[in-house]
Amino acid sequence: MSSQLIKITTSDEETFKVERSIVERSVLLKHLLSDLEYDETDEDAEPIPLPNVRASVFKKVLEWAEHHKNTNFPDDEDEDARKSAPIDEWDREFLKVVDQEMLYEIILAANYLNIRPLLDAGCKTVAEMIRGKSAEEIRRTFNIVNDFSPEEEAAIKRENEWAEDR
Amino acid sequence: MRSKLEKRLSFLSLPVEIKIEVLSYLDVSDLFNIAETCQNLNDIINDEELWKNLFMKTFHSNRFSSVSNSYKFSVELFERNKVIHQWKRGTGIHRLIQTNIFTIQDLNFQHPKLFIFSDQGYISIVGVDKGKIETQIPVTTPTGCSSYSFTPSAALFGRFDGRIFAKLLASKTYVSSVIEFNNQHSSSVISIFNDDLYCYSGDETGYIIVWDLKTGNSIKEIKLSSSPIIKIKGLNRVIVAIDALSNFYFIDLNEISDRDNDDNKNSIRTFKIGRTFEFFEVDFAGNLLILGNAKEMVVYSFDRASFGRFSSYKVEEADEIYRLTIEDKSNTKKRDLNVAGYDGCNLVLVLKSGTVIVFNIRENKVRSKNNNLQPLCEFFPTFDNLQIPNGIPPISSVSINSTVVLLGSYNGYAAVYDALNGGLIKLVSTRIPKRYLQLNEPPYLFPVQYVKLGDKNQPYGILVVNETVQYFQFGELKTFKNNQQKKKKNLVGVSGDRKNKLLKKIKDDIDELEYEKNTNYKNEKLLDKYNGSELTDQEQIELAMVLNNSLHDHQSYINNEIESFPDDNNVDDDLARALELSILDHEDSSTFQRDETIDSNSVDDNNEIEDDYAKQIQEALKRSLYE
Repeated sequence: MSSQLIKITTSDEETFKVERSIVERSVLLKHLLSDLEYDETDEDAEPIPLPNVRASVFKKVLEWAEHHKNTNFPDDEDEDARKSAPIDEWDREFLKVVDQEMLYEIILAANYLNIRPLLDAGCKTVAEMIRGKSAEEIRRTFNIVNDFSPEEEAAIKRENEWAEDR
Repeated sequence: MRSKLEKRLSFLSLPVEIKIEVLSYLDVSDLFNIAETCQNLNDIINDEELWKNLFMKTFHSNRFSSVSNSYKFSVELFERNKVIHQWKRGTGIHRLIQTNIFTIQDLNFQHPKLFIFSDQGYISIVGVDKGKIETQIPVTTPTGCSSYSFTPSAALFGRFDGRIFAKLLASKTYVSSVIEFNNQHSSSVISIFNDDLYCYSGDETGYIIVWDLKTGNSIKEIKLSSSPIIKIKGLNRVIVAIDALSNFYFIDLNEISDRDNDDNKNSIRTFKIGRTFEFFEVDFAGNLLILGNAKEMVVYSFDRASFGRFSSYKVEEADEIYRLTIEDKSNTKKRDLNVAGYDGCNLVLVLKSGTVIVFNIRENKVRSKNNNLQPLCEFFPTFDNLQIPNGIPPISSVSINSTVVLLGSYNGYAAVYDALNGGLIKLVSTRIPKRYLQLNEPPYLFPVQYVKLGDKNQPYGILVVNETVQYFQFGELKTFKNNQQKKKKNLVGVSGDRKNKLLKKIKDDIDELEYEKNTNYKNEKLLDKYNGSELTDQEQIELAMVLNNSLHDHQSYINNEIESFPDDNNVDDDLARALELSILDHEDSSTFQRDETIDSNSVDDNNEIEDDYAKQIQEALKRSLYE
């Protein structure tokens, strides 16, 4: 049975064995597999290297893909449908329990691997952390250092207030 | 440990495209807050090139009519996406209003009021939010009327004998009678127009007069030509006119003092048009005159720098221009080139073949060599389930704003398209229910005579088929506090005296009471008529419904259909009926509640009025009405 699985090595040299259907959630890997004519029945097949993804992050991505094995996501091209869909409940929980850094790593991995639904869920989660907050609250949430001079800050505020009133 | 983690990866360290992806889920207000956090994010949000490119990606244009009037492309992109999103996904509210008006002469839509001017001598004011006719004002078109102007602020009638009558339509003046202007033309009034403050009229002997709409006093009389003034439009004392010899005239009264008459000649600018036209539109803020006939549309500039220059668009041999409509930009005084997209103005052509072509007329490349107008987009709308025989123009009516084009076809079909890229946004309305449309006889097609979008690019509009008005709205409406205040000020200006305010309110209430009495009487008659005859269940419910509503709905037959449907509207007949019944049930109960509130209101009002006073006024009112 193990011969049916695809071998993938992460940046920190850990090798995973994954079902093809799960791997193909990643459009990048899907195209790669077909370009390479990868044969998972071949015991000696070289593992696919993923130089941009750490094992701990890849594990999370696989966990997500495993859960959504049978989910039908809206077409990647239908931007409006994708954008207007609320975050899937399971995804929300899944991304809530990880720390901020892991969240960004998952987003970057989803971006790199081209897994649109996971990238959308990640971005929506970050957007939720911003929505309705004041500048100061946003700074606190994301540990952003206020690098404006007081004059600059006042000028930006004035400009924005003016723009908002238009 | 924590600080080490943050150093490795943070929101700020994400690539720009992912930050933008995150931002795309937020509102404009969030955008401003983010810009205030730090340099990096402020730079992204103020990177005009970046947002312009993003805008181009979706809308294929960077010179367009703005939704937000913002100088920032980011704000414009967000606002525009939001409006389109609302059209697409907002919960649909549909209201059908039976008007009993057969021959509509003209109509204006200013949410929530729809003004319908009919041949029968009435202006009906329909409240689309309440789904009923609120007021019917008898205007009894003065006999010998040779021209009229109908806008939400007034209805004006110019007569063959040179006199002008006006009926102000600002609320609270509904019951005031038709007034005659204090002066008159020496010949027949051929053309007449009004904005919120002024009236402009042109006569057979080439004179034009500018009037104060509120007082009816003439402000200025100017002789433009020796031939009749066939077209006139004006906005804030800037006037454009065309005479029967197809000369175009431009006068800016703000440049001329009201008194000296000698200076006029120098202030009038003119050029020769030399072609026939049936469509006549003016973009005052853009200094553009738009004329059109079946074969071509021509856009003339009356800007000082390019006065009289024009560019044109010709349609193909076999086709013809069927409708020409311009976006209403009369609320902006001057084109503002700092606005993202250079503050354009949309115009739409509908051809007999059904092709729809959208232009930004403020981007006419006025060059001597190639003065052809370039369309923003061109598309061919289709309506499934609606069969239109060859030779009949598939689109009957059109309306446009900065974001969308609303197209009306037949039997209640209407669709909204993206004004910039021509993409289908939504089929906003399908067939009007059968009970409103008698489709027993050929041709089985009733044109959607009018479609109108609301102002401010909000996702709502109306359509008219025969005697039925349908109002549709998608999602919640944005409230504009500032503008409402401004509007109120304007109304006070037009309606005049503050002292009269109370009187008018009383008059309104009395009018309402009279109307109710009349309606009750009619209801009783209706009841007599229908008593004894055998009815089916369905008819009984409908009848009950009519009567119930009539109690306070001025006999208009309404049906509020609140449906939240996704894109697919193909509900089969049985389901539709079931839905209807449940709506009726719902209506019944809510109607009772409304009745109660109205009663208590009117009681309160009556208590405020001293009895004698009220009687006097009532009599005075009656007299004036009978006049």
